[in-house]
Amino acid sequence: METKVIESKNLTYKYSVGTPFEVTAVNNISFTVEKGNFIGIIGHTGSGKSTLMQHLNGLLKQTSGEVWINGRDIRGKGVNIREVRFEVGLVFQYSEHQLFEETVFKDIAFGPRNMGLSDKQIEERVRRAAKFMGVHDSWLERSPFDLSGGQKRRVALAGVIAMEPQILILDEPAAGLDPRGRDKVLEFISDYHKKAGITVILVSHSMEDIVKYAGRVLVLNKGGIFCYEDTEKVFTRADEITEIGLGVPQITRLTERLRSMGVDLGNDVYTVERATERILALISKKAGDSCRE
Amino acid sequence: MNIIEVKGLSFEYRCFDAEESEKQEKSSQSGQPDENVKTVPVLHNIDLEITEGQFVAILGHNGSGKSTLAKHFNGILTPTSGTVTVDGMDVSDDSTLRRLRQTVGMVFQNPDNQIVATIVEEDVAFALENLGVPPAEIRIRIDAALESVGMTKFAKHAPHQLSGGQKQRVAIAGIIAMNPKCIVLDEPTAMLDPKGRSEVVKTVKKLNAQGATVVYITHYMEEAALAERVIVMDNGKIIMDGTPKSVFREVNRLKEIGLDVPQVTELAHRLRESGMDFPDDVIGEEECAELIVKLMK
Repeated sequence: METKVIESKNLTYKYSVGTPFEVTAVNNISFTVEKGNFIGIIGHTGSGKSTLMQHLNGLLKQTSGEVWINGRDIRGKGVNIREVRFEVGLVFQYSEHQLFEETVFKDIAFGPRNMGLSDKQIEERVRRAAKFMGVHDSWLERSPFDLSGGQKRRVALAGVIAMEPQILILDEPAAGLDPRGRDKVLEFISDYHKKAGITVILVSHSMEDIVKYAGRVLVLNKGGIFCYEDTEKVFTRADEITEIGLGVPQITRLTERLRSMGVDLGNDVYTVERATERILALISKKAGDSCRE
Repeated sequence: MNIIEVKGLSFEYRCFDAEESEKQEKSSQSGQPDENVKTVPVLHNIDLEITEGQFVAILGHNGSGKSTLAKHFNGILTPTSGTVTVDGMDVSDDSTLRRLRQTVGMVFQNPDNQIVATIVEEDVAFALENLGVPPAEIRIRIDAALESVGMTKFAKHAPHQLSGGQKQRVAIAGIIAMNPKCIVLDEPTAMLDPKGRSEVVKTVKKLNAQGATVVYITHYMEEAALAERVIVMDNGKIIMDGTPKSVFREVNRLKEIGLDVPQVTELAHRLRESGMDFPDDVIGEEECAELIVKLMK
């Protein structure tokens, strides 16, 4: 049986309760994530993505409902929230802004040091995390501020990974990177997910990225769950997803347009590779048909 | 008429290990060069002319120099050598700096770094107050600016309660309110969701249609395809410059320097490689769909 590592039960969070600005950012959300899953979370700005993820390691305290991590209520009696934070690593948007140490090594070591590990263990973890994120040994003694944007981002990610959390939550880890930097960071994360066998939650605006890496997608709309399904299935609902202010990949929009023009490539096309295959297949089928005639 | 003229522009950053860089710079001039000071060349001998009213997109991987180039347009950076002239003003000339900054408005990637006030409309008013615009006029300009970015109903909200996309639109409103002739946007949509992105892009296109010159830095190829001119930078040089169609047809070259093309362009490229009779300069969904339908006949 699969083990549930995250359970959100009727989670609700309201900002500025009792003021004219009261907003329900997360509204009665229930979902579960199983061990080793790679989940994508998408939703328009203000849909509650960031608020939701900050509940998963107890940075925000829900107005009502419960969050269970590894089988216990993180707000329950006798639960040390500090321990939960070591189990659930949270990487914020623009994580490189959180770099502060004199050297890359010290920055990555900050988390493990706070966990009270020995110097030897810290060193091991720093080197392991650095390797996972493609942080070269030669950078370790340099100032993190001498690195490029994409490199800094990877150092910041290594700093969270060095704590070896069982659950890794990333808020837009690739935002602002160029296409190559984006692919690199996401490849490193995906690789780490596979090798370390951890659970990953990727919050992203980029459908293209979600499609490539996530097995399941949680789509949020106005603080609630719009759907929670396998990635393959989500894009069969392209129309509805566009309606709630989300984009589908350009290639999926093209497929929709083609269907309305009488060319049906199927309703599960969200990569250029698949579109190319389907078009070529249709053409050769047509050629075959006309031969037989 | 050219609003921006760049001639032989080169720029190098000076990097220092310590905060008290100024002192070190001075000490390095006398005697031995200080190890802590190193120069990093970023831009190499760039020539560029941008016509008034143009919508120019700049592409390039991180570190290619596109932001550094853009920061010259309103004198945040000044050339190490060469000249940058905007609307007749040399950006290195301190005496016209204030006017230069009113002529060229900058919008950056992260709205959190651009918002200063605690109420949305006060933030939009910030520059106008500094410019000494009369209060009645400020009121009109704020309302118009918030309207054009679709943030009117948040006028009295605190910026920290807004989402990233909403904050970015407030930052753009703050620039629009100054009525600049030229708007330089450095990856303004990097943090936004698709809807927020299309709102910002629409706003920018509208401002351009009203006569503003737009310089738009982006990593989103689909956005660049909407500009009338695309400039591609690599290693501090301009390596491609032309219409979106003429730039994006060079799929392999763009990929070599770590960039991408719109998905429909990629599809066209693959169909051609599979031996299909397909043009190589497809950048729009509509034209791509029509060409595919034609192929099926």
